[in-house]
Amino acid sequence: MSSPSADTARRPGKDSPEQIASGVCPSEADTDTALIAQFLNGNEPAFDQLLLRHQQRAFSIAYGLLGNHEDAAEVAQDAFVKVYHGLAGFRRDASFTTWLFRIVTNLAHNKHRAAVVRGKGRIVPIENADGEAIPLADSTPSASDAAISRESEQRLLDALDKLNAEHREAIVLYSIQELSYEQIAESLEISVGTVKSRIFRAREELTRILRKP
Amino acid sequence: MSAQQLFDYLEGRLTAGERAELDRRIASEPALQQDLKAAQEIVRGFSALKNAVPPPDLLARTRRQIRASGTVVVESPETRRDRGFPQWAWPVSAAAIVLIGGSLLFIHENSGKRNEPLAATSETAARPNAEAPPHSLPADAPITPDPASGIASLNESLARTAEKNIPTPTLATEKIDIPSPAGELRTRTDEVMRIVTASGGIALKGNATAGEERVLASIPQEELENFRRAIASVSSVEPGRDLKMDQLSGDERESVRQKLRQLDDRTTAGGKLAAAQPQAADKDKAAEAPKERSRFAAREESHAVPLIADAPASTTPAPAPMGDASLAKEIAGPALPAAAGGGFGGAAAKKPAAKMDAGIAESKRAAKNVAPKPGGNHSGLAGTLRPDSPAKAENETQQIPQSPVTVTGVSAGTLEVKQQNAAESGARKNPSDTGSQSRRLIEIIIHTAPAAK
Repeated sequence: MSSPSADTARRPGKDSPEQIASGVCPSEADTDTALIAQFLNGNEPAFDQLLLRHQQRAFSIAYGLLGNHEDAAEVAQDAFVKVYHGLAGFRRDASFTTWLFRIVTNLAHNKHRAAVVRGKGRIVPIENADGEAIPLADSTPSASDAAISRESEQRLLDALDKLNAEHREAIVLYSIQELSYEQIAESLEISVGTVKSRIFRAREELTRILRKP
Repeated sequence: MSAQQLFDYLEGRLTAGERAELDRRIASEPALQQDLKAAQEIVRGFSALKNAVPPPDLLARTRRQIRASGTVVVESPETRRDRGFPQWAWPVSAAAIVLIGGSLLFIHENSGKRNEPLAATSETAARPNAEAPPHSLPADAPITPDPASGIASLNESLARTAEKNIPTPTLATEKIDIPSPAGELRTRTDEVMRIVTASGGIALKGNATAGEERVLASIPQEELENFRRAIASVSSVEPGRDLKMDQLSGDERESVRQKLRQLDDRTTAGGKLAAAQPQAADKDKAAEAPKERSRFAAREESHAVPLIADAPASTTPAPAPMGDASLAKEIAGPALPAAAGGGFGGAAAKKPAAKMDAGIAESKRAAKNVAPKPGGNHSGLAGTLRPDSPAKAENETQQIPQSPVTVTGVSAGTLEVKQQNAAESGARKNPSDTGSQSRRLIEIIIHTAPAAK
């Protein structure tokens, strides 16, 4: 297991202004620690700040694992409720984000398994009542790019759904959250070598699936 | 070519030489072009997923759920692994609980209907003014029980069912003390057993204690007198004759005389009680009248003598002039719990041997051979050993028909009194009611230290 500083260990060449803004930066762990301390001292709004800081990441992981907005929102909500109730027992030797992603991953895994048991499969409400596609991301520069992105997103979600859970979790944490191998290993409670192996196999499998006409 | 190299190519992680080599291969290999397209789509897809926007009200929804979840539960992250209890299981569990609870209530209500005659009789005896069984639901009762009240109702029903159906320990209705020389305890006990058998009865020997043997006997009603005579011949002191008036103080003696006069008025001078006796019973009463007086005097003269059970003397109320029913009740003394005494229903019954259990069961089977009297209410209580609950009393007295008020045995330490109301006596005018199958349970105590008893 890595130390809390592993939370700040970035993959080579992956640090960008957007990532720093939405992801982990060297001061983020300290900020999280400070907010947690305030919350535990009775400052309830500190928890709100903590949620606002991490809600997008939690949601995107859930969405990548589930491929469904509603389910992803539900998982993110449940995850933060668990965080709220568990902060008092939170071990400081792990980073908050690692702990949060672990909760999100476990909840999404259970929800996905339940959906499979129900035979529900993946439900992706990508159209509104008028049959128009709902934009899933707000960073698309143009209409054509947005269409391509949505199509790629949907195909990727379908492909991810065909992976086994272990490979899906590893590739989502690596590709969406851009966590380091060490951070993923800590979140999934597996070894770094296993993380690398799962990511490699996940990429191979996704490529094979999406290569089909 | 692995997919990993394609992703490294797309993410700019290859050196210039590696990149040029890969460009050359992609241009010449259609399969590799397909793989590259797939990798590009994966990267684009993850890029889109990376920017997925959470619902704007996520904070508010989370806050609502936190408020709804109530108290804060402190758990370490290690123990917070999802416990895998799916959300759909909660309503299913709730429905199952309601279904099971409803089924239990339904079963209980139906079983109550099956036992209705007995239950009604028992509860009427217990609460004479009761208009309806307490467990019957009102007509406008809701079909779906409230969970809280349902649990309370279920507990109450279980308690009532247990009270009705758990068998009452067999209690002797009469007790006879037989003193014995120290070395002849076993011999005398065997002799008692033979007498019981010769009287057509069933004898059961209990666990022997130091200086004491106990025999529980079930004697046919018609053989009762013969049995008593035979037992009296065994005992060196006739039951009921071992306490003397001259042992009393002056005041006590006068009190006893007053009680004896009251008893005489009721048993020999046309009192209500005597008039209510069936003919056969009157004969018994006439024969036992001197005994009654003597035994009653014995009780009067020894305020330290408990009734059957070895209760403290202070628990025995001092008799006072009163009506027949109350007098009989007064003679009988306070109801004693079955476990209070040293008889078969008392401490000895706490640790019954298997043999004793079998004998008691046999006695009860014999008693059950008595056909219930149509319309009759065998509510007479046997001596002072009353079962704990009226329902049990009803069961007991249905099995063991009793004679009217009579003192049946006394010794230095015990006094047995049976009572029976006039109505019941009147209902027994038909001799068949006291048919040959009627039996009486008698506890016989053979002990080596009569003076100490």
